[in-house]
Amino acid sequence: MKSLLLFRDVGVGHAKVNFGPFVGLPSMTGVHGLGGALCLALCEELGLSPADIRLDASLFAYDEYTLHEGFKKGFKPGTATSEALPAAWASFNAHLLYRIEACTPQAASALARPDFRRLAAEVLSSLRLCKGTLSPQRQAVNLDAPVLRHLGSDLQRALAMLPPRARVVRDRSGLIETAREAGLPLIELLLAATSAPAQRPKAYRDFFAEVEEQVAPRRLSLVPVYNGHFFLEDSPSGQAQRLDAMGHVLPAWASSASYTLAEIQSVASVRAHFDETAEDYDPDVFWRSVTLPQGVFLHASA
Amino acid sequence: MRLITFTEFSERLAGDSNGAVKALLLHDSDGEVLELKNCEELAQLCAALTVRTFPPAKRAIQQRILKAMPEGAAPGGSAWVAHFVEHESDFPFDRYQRKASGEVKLEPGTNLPLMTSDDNKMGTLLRNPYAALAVLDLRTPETTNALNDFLASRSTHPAKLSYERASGSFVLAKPRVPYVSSVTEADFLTVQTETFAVKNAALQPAMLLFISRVSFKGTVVRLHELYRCPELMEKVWACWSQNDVPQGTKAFLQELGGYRAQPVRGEPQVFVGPVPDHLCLSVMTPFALFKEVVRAKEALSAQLEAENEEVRAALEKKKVALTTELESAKAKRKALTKPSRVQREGFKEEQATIKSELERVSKALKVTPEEPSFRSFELLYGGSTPRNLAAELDKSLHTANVLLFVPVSRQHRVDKAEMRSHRAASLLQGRAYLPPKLPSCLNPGALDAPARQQRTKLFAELMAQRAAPLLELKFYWLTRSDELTGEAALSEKAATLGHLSPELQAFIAGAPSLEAPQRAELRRQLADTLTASASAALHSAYSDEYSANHFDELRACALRFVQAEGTY
Repeated sequence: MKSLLLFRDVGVGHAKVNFGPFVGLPSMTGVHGLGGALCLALCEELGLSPADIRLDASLFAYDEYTLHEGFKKGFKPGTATSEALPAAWASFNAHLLYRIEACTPQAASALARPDFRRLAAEVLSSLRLCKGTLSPQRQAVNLDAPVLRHLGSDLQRALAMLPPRARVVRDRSGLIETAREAGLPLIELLLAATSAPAQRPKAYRDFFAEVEEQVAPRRLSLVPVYNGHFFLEDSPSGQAQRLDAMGHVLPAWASSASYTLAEIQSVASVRAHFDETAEDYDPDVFWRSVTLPQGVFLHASA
Repeated sequence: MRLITFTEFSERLAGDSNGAVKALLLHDSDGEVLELKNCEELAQLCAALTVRTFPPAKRAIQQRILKAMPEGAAPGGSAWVAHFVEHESDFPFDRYQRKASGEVKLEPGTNLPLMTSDDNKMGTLLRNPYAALAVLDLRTPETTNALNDFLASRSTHPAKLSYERASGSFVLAKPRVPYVSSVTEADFLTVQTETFAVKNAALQPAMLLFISRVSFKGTVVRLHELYRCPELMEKVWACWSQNDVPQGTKAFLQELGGYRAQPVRGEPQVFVGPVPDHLCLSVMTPFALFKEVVRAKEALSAQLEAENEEVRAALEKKKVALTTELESAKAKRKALTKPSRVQREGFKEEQATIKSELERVSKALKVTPEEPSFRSFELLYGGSTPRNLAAELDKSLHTANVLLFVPVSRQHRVDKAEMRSHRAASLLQGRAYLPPKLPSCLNPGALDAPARQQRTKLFAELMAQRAAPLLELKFYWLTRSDELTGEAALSEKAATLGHLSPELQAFIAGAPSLEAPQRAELRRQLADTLTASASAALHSAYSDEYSANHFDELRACALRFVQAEGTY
């Protein structure tokens, strides 16, 4: 049995957002992995075995976004001072919606416990998102509340409880597959996605015009999001080597940062386009672990 | 970018050392880059710049002059000492005491002028930088007021040096980039780090080395990046050793050049591609762009430029063709001695058509094509503390990207009051986003299924936009009522929603006491309001083409929206 677990207004402080060239949003693998960690921690808390509660999919929305460099230590004599900024951090209000599945009857009964929502928020507050602290403001939202009863599905109820101006980050990795089949260079695609239509070369202009046609009249805003680091080979071969500044020998790209495309859409707009008849209601608002690895490798060519 | 050779540079240095160094180091001369052909030149440059920019160096040299000068006797020795004595009238240190023992000492309280105003003297020094370097004591820290004055003297340039008294270090801050849009690709590639700090004040003037740009084997880098190349530095040290520069100086400069710099703990050090053995110049900060991304940017720009060029060429060709056509039409007209009225009309018409076409083409030619630009943004360095704001320390993020949704009110240097009033005004006007041209699905004749589907989408989006304030209020109420019960909930409801009309109240908080038909009536009323509002938005957007086409569908959509969003 799958059920939804919604945390509204989770304060995220100092989540790391620079993993490579594209700065802005936290890692989507991080968001999904947070759900996995939450399930594991809940199992432990409830005295279940680790696989009893399973994460199926996760939805990520945010508002009140600020990007900052974080605090910097004063210059002390005798300590090395970094030449560059160590990282960029972001603080925001996250709205996390996890679709979880109770795999055993014990787990199902545990999920039905009256204090489960409070417990989940407590467990969540002990976890972190991309190095950022999480501070849930209240317990997980009661999706069976009387005010929500007129709404048909669970997802509709959860969406109703999200602030209308919050931004939902939707999974658009399908576009990358399409572009790969069309033979477009992918890093260029990521860059072109963020530039104005008139500034895109014709091939990209046509590609994105087609995509925009599909979602018209919605304004489509695509951004590259970090998707995790993935191994490029089973084990570093040891043959391909490079030297660092000190002359140390390092393996050449054993792994690579991966990026995928996400669409950012306001909650009000998601609700307006809600289609109850669709089979797996509005599939790409959710991120799943099977779709996550489909990204663009920065160093695939090396 | 103009390349100047090392010979030219050293001549300039000897003639007008102030100007030459300043121009090169602080980028005063636009686009001039010093070209180094081999390691010998690099070694000489390092030595010269060290002598030139190092207050302790000058003091050491000058004290040596004083010590070497016997009472009443002309000093001998190397060329530069003789030179100082020749210009005794200009001699900067006339306030010195001689002790009975013959020792020469400065009067207490005398500040050493750290920049000699006489370029000739400095020029002479710089002609043999190795000899000057040989007598330096670089490791003695220098913290005099005169040093501060020296540093302040440089702040006429937008690059500022500020002194951090607490830690005794200096920070070099580059000027704030006025507009993000004016940041070019070159800025990202060459100026990677804008803020430096060193722990020892003595190192500070030499930090100026860090911003000089040189071209070495065709690669334009900052000088300190050359310092980081172990093989290259080995060769430089070898050159110095041949010229009797002591070991301590070399060790010191190694440290200075970041030769031993370690990566910041816990952070990945980013390299641009595999580093070639002979030229280890591409060590970059974590904010440097990946080589792949740089390449992708170049490819996109080149592609766009080529396309623009193609379009332009086609237009030019057409212009030429039209011009010749016009000429020939005119010639044809002239060839006829007595054209009939019909013929005259025909010619006139033909020429008018060609002319209008020509005008259109030349107008299109005048439009400057879009230049490719990639998103980036700047971030305040070290947070927005008052100190940092005062010091104007900031940092552009050298990213390819991307941040779209930093609320404007939270951005730096935004007039918040103006922001608020603008937001209030736009809320009041309730401008909706609609496609710039009338979508085909809104034409009266568009009755097929895809058009209907698209219309539904358009109307749904429009409803979400029109009802945005209402949704906000509903969300606020949902979160409040979640927490309150009983009397508190009732009084809160009266306070929050009391002033609203019944249909809005029912939309937001539900109307459990009413019967179903009454509730339906309330829904219908709200749907009517929304329909009118959306229709007005469509009218104002497409005043010419749109006249209540598909009004029924709009109304049905409003009703559906109210039903789905409302709390009934």
